Amino acid sequence: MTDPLLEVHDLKTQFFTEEGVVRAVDGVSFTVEPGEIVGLVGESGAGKSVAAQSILRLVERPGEIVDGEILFRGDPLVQFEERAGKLRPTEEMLTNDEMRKHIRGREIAIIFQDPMESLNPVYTVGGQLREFIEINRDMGEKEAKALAIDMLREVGIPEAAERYSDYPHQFSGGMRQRVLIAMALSCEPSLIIADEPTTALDVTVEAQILELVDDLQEKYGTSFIWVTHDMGVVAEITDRVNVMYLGEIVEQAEVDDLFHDTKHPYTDALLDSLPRPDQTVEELNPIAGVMPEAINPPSGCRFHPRCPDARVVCTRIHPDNRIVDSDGAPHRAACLKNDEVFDVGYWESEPIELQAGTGFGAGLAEDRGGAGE
Amino acid sequence: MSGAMTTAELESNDSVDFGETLLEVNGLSKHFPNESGFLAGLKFDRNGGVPRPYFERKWVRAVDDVSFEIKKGETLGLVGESGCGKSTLARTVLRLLDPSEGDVYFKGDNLAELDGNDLRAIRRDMQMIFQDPQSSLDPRMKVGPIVEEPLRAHNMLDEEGRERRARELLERVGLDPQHYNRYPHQFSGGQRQRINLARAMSVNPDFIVCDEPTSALDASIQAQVLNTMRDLQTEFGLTYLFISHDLSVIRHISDRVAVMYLGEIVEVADKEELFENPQHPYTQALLSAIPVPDPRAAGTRTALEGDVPSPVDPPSGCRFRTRCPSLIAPDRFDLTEDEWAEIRDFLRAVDRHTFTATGEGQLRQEFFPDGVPRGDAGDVVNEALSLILSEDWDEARSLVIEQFAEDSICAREAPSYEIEPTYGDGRHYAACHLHRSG
Repeated sequence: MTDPLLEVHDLKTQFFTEEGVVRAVDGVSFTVEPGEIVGLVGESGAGKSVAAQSILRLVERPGEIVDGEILFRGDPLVQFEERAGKLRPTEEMLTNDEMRKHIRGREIAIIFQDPMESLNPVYTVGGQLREFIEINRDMGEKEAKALAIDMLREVGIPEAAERYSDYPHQFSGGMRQRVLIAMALSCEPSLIIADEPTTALDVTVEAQILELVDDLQEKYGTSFIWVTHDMGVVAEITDRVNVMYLGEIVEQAEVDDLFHDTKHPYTDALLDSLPRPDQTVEELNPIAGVMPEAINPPSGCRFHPRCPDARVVCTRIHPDNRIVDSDGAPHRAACLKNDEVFDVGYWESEPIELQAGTGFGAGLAEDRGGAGE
Repeated sequence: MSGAMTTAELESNDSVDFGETLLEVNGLSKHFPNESGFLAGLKFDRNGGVPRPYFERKWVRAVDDVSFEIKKGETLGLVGESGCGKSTLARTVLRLLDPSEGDVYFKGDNLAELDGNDLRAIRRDMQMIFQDPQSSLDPRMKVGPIVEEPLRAHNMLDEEGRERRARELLERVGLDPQHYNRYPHQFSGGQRQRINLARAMSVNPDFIVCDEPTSALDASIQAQVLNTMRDLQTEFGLTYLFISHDLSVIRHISDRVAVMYLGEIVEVADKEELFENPQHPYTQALLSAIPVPDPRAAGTRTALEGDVPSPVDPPSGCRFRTRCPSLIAPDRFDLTEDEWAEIRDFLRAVDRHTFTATGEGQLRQEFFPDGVPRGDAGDVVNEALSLILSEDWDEARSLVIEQFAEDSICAREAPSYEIEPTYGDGRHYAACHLHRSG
């Protein structure tokens, strides 16, 4: 096997707020191989966007990456060591200047959910694309313009040469997202982080974009980290998937295994709660309660208050994300149910009643994370 | 239905039985002026001499000649992409917007003709739930008074009775009655949508229009809210018009489904029939576009080309024809299906200018690998090709559009067909000329 393109080890990103420390990303590890699409999936508040932004060190105050290591082709984007009893960035860790000049855009590009916010409304679409190419690829204006028009055509903008001088508001939502994809691709990066890029789009437009990404990925061999809450998109486009819950990765598997050989009750429950487009589901099985806040996560397994399979041992022991099935690609899950791996006596432990309740007596948003009601 | 009705005022006066038509919409249209203001539409004729002013108003035809009916106790799902007019339709049905044309019969009264007190009285029976649970709740009001507000507006119950009913309703929708004195910001998104549900339920309506009520919620929370909405429907005999862009949600909640495209309803059928036996190419495209949460089901995706046309100047005949993968060949050409498919792709590519011409051989190879069709159609194609090669795109475009697109039955007649259903025995309507007999 070749070396991974990106390695994330035990990443921790925290937000220091007045109410306390929000542990948005709490010890996350995953890898991205060259040419694969890795899914990062979870509900809102799971920490998937913060994890994705941490890779490019785009987290803003009061947020801060406090621990962990991120290696891109062996270069430390994030690395800490203990000095004088405190964690400090290592000497080798890339400086902000190096990040800006060598990594962002050139090696790792990012596409956000809302294309209108990523494009400046007072400059033409082509001008913004050209400037980006000029800066990142050291090209002259003329050359950059020619490439910009080529890229617009490549992502399926009709009459690319004419639309070059249009403003963002003259493009439809799908077209704007195509422009951002063109921008991301124009520097031929090895990795593109796509943060919910199709969430704001209609299904037929979303299908167009997914198709486009499929084609381009084949052509350029770019790796993707695809951040989404939509299990349908995950099934459609990713090769491997990381499921996040409350700042942690709870399951990690190849896409087919994740859907057909699910090892974590959260993933199971999430799949079970979805209405299906291809079959009529009479009764939906929602997950009880709501996700607690990351400020004061539950003890033991963080999912235990909502987990239908929770037992007493789950309230005490915090499971790490271990390999539970090494047939083929390793399948990791952070659940004590896999007792042959964790060996903490799950099956002998007493089942517990769902603390979250079945309906919405689950307590108010502001009480979440506390003892409940 | 224990104890929910506190006074006779809240007893529903059910003049309509289950399964009878509760709401009937007939030829409903809503057009908005494209520009607004005092001098809107003022134009100058600059042809020679002093410019002469004249008025010309353009209209956005947001909803155009829509008809459907909803039976008491059923859920009609209304699905379509953003901008297709589904929210405008919902607001016009409730007469939150005045219709430009057409009638809306609710329990036999024509809402389009009612006004003042009569309209106000009938609105007691019709409520609405909006997409954004945050902005549809006043942040400075407590939850209890929010739920009581419609009761106050319709002068129902005394103060004590209203509070009792509010607490009951909070419990009904799955909240704690103790939360009566809390503020909306103290609740999560799913809980806020439940408050909206309780408020809509407070006056004991028969009919609730739900405009994307779960679109802003996470999957697991969405399932909770959808289940509650279903329970309430069974318990109180509610009728829903449920609007969503999400076909999975529509499939779960609806009894019948209407599909909207660019201001018109293109297909209506019972849920099972619509999802298993879709007959309009747009419905088929929508269904194939949804990502299925199962990697083994992935694969058969047919992405639609192009963007939705402007509702200011919609295409003649069938509005979907400019993007339709099954556009019908004009009768005067004698073409095989494969030949027509090639011409259709060529027509779209020229129309959207999606390629650049580098040479005649390359063009022919790209669009007509087996040679240009013979006969009249072939002559048109050859003429268009030579126009493109001389960089006269506008001429080429108007030539192929005039010859191939405008002459199709899809452009000449508005389609409207009844189809024999395969699943169940409900009515199946599809606005597509593929179903013309003969």
